[in-house]
Amino acid sequence: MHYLKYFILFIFSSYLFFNSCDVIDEPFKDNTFIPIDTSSTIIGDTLVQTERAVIVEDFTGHRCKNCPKASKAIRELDSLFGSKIVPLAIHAGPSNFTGTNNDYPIDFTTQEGDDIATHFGIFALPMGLVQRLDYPNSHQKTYSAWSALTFLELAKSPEALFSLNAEYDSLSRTAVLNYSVELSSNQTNPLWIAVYIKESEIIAPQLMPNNARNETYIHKNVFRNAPLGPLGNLISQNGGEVGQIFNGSITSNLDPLLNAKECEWVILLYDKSNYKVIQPGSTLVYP
Amino acid sequence: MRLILFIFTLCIPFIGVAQQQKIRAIIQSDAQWYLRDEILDPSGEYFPNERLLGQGFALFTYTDGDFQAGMRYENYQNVMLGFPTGYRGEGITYRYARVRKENWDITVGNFYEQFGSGLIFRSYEERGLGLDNAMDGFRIITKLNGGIKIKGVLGRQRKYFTKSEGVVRGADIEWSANELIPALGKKGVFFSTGASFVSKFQRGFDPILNLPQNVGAFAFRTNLNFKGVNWGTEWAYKINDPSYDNGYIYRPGNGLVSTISYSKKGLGILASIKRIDNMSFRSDRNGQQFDLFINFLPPTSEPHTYALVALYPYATQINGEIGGQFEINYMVPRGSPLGGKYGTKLSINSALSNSIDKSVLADGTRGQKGTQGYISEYFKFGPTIYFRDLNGSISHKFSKKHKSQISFFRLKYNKTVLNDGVGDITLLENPGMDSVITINAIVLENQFKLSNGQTIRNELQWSIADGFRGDMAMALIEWTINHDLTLAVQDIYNYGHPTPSRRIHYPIVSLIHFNGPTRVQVGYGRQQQGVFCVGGVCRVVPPSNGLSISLTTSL
Repeated sequence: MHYLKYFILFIFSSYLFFNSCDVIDEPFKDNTFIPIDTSSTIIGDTLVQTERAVIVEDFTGHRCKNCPKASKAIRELDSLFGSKIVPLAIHAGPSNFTGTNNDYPIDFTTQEGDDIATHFGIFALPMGLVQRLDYPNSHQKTYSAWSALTFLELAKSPEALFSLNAEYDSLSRTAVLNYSVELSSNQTNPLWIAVYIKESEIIAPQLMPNNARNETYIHKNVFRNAPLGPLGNLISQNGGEVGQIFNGSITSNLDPLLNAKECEWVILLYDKSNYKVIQPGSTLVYP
Repeated sequence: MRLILFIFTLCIPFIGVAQQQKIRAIIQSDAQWYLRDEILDPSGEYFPNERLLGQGFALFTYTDGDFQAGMRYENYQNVMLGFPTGYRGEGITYRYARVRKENWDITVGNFYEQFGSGLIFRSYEERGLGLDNAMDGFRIITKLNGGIKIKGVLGRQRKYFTKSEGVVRGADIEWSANELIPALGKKGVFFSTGASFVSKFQRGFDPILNLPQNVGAFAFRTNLNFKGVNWGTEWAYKINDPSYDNGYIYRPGNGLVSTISYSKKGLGILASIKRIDNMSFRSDRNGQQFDLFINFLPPTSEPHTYALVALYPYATQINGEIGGQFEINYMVPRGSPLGGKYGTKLSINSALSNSIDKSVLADGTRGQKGTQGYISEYFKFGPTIYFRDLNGSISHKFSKKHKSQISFFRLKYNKTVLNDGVGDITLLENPGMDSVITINAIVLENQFKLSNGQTIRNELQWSIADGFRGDMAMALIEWTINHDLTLAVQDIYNYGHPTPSRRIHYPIVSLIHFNGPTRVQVGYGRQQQGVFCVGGVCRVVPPSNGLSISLTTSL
């Protein structure tokens, strides 16, 4: 027994010391990441995806001082991965971060955005979902984790690819999205489609990390509505096989307050059993 | 399924042994019914959609000789305002089996543990905060000859109803010289020393950064006690650990805590210093708030209990702070002019905390991701005042039935850092934007024992602040009706709030009933918005109004 103690101590100590410290001399990777955006091509009026894409849903608020840091993380992702990233800024969550007052008069919240936040149990801002991974226990990701998760997701082969075609009637402000999605992998669980409209380049006040109010902050990718509802519609109860194609069309009357030229459709194909997004896509409302 | 089997296995020994009093249970349940208060919260932004929120737990422990097992069931339907809303739902969050035999102590499942003062490892629970970073894995503790004690831990930490992605492993060795050299004790010398090593593993994927997947930290400590003087010091070092907390810088962290104290009859003196530099250590580099902390950075300021002063608590600044504390307690002897018949207790306490020096790197940057972050001279103070505290009290017992205490406080409180959570790097880049509030307060407390065995205790508090919450006054009266029933009424009047509409009262009435191990508390009133801290770790408390009920019992 006496020697057993020393033996266990030796084994445990050896394990710790030989496996426990990664001292990094060069923090930045040598092979500088140069994004080459080959994620989609335009054929006629139709955007045709050729690679996997990742949606990053950023739950944010104009009175949340750390939220601009998350927006910065989105911009970094955008510069790294281009249109392989589908960002969506959903103003929802704790009302002391998202509510309006004299300093922050514009209400960016929406009922559908609130419903999405409630569904995913968003309890703090800024908080995000990357491809809605790891639901229901650890799906909420802080912005510092987004780039690594995105990187991992993009390294995988696409499981489905969208072809998107948008139409817009500026007189009636009617927007139409025609989609076609082809499975690149077999799916066995129920497949759902969710469709959202987002708007960018909105100038409105934002509380900044230094507690100052930036009156001319440019809000991007702001979630505006969900024509099919916050969680969308079922398109296949039993999944589908490689090569199977699902088509559809969604129509939405754009709110007069929205700038159609800065709006985009966002579409998700997801596995309803775990809410994991199989493939997202986006295209301009006003092509 | 494995969990059910595990629970069943734990329950088998329970059958038929309940009469042997080897099963212990602790049960607590808290609930609050929230009322809309348009004065406290005009826009209703803090008012929950769910009117009644409640949470509770039941901890069962079974002991049979050398063997112990236990489990804790928790329920949040839904979690009360101010607690981390990551607590949703219910489940068994803590279960373990432990054997202690001869010099061995082995635990599998969940456990809490601490190495030294916790600078590199402390797994603990603080229910008042909603903090629980329990380990789930195994722990071995053994004693060797000559006063050597060794601990080894391996596992993952709790995060609400899930676990951290990162794995924590650590070892601690402590040597008590007195066990090897008993003669030391005869001369009044007690000496121990120890060393710890902790490492975490978390996968690291980043398109730009080479992230360290294994991050190690070590610490050394000593403790010497000689004729009333006790001196304890711990120093810790952590290798590069880019994280959300430090803005993904690669600077190693370090921490030093040293405390010397002296005590003899009627006199106690304590002095401590602390320097923390980039010592946030979590099992998830992206963790926030108080999720998944591996270590604990002990505070060096006095936790205040009087309500008006407690509204300005100090929270340890994990990215860097330097400061210290000095405290002296003196009991004026009985029979002296100041001491009177029963003696008088005098107490003075002071604490300070500042930012550390964070000078720019050679390339002119500071705090940038992927760099060493900054340069810091070890004992040089940074420009940002975090906290100052000077307080004193005189406590005198006038008779067997009456005693009083008067206390004075002068605080400097950096609202921008401690209340708003703005980091020191941001302040360095925006000098002069922080708001340091000066608070002066006085508290008079009296306690009277009545002839019928009842007790009356009252507090009168008054604080003056040059901003933030402004001036406040408070009165409290607590009536212990008998040994199992206490009624308390208090009101805080924030008459000097800078915003006229917030110059309001915060009344609270509470009734506490004791019945053996059972405690029931019912309260009704307004809760002021603030920050609640335990041990330098804090959470934000939103304003609320309503009826609260709390039940605690043990079986």
